Amino acid sequence: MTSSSESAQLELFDRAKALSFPNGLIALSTVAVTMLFIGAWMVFFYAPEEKVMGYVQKIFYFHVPAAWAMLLSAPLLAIGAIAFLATRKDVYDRLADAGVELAILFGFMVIISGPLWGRKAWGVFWVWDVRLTSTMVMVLTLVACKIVRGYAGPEAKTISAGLSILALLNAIFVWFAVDIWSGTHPPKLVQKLEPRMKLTLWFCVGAFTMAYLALLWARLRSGRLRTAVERLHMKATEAGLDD
Amino acid sequence: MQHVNEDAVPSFPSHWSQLLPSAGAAGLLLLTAVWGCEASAWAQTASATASAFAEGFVPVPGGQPNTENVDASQLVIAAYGAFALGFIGYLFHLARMQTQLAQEVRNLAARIDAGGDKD
Repeated sequence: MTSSSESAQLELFDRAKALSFPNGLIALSTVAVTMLFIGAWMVFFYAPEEKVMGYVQKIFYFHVPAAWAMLLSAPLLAIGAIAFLATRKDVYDRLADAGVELAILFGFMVIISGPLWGRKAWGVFWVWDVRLTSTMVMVLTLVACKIVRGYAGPEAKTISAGLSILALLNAIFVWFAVDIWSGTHPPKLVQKLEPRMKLTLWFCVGAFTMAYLALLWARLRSGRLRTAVERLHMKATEAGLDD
Repeated sequence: MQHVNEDAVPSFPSHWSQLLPSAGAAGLLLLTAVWGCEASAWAQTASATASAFAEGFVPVPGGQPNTENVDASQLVIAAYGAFALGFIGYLFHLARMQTQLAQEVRNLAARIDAGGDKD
């Protein structure tokens, strides 16, 4: 067997791995979707209506888990970014990129659903409260990560990694903001919730965590496919097949 | 196979020392943010009092509830619609991206295999 055919064998192995759709991902996605539907049912038919805020408080049960999922991304993307800066391995960059993308997704859910709740609870869509402002800054930093990745040229991954670390610092800030500054945003009140409200919230947190893991897995698979494409392009160039 | 030019990758300590100015800038940004939050928290209470007495507007008499009626169900539907749209939209984006990439992998592999056979 020649050296080039050995290389071809390796590519075939990578290709097959990249193209396969894991059964575990299908199972996890099914669990996540089922849990999200059950969670939605619990929000509207199991959890009691809140006395002061009324029906609009139902937003709370998906708003908080979305914020949880957004903050869950922060350590992940920071680990990916730090590991990438230290080792320059693509696998860590892919992890950071997936974390950034998911944090943006859940971050937008938070900053869309929050103001809708605020419209009824506070009378306005937005107030320049510390937690709201810091959350918006975090989401914008993450959007900047994605923009940099697309347009900053050869150093894009490094700059994006630096911004990701800044996003982690911001996430810590978002978490502690309500403890340090008592603004308009409600404080952490999970422990004080009525039992049915608490169960609904924790179930929804579980559902969002499952959804987060499934989406992360799927996003990492996309990253692996992209790497496979890049490697095949290099191979095609070597063989004189690419323009 | 991925070709990495080892010389182009800076050594671990020198690379981190290059990041020091960026870390300093990030720290400064963070300090500014902390100061901004303090100022924002102060301004929030100050502006709430000031706007209540804005000239040309009649303030709600003290102790009376706000009579504005906002339909909560529309807000809840909009919020859960945004959640659903977020999930479905992102899934659609992932599925589309993976289909395109998988197709590109197959096409490139087929070209390479065909090219290799010719040799």
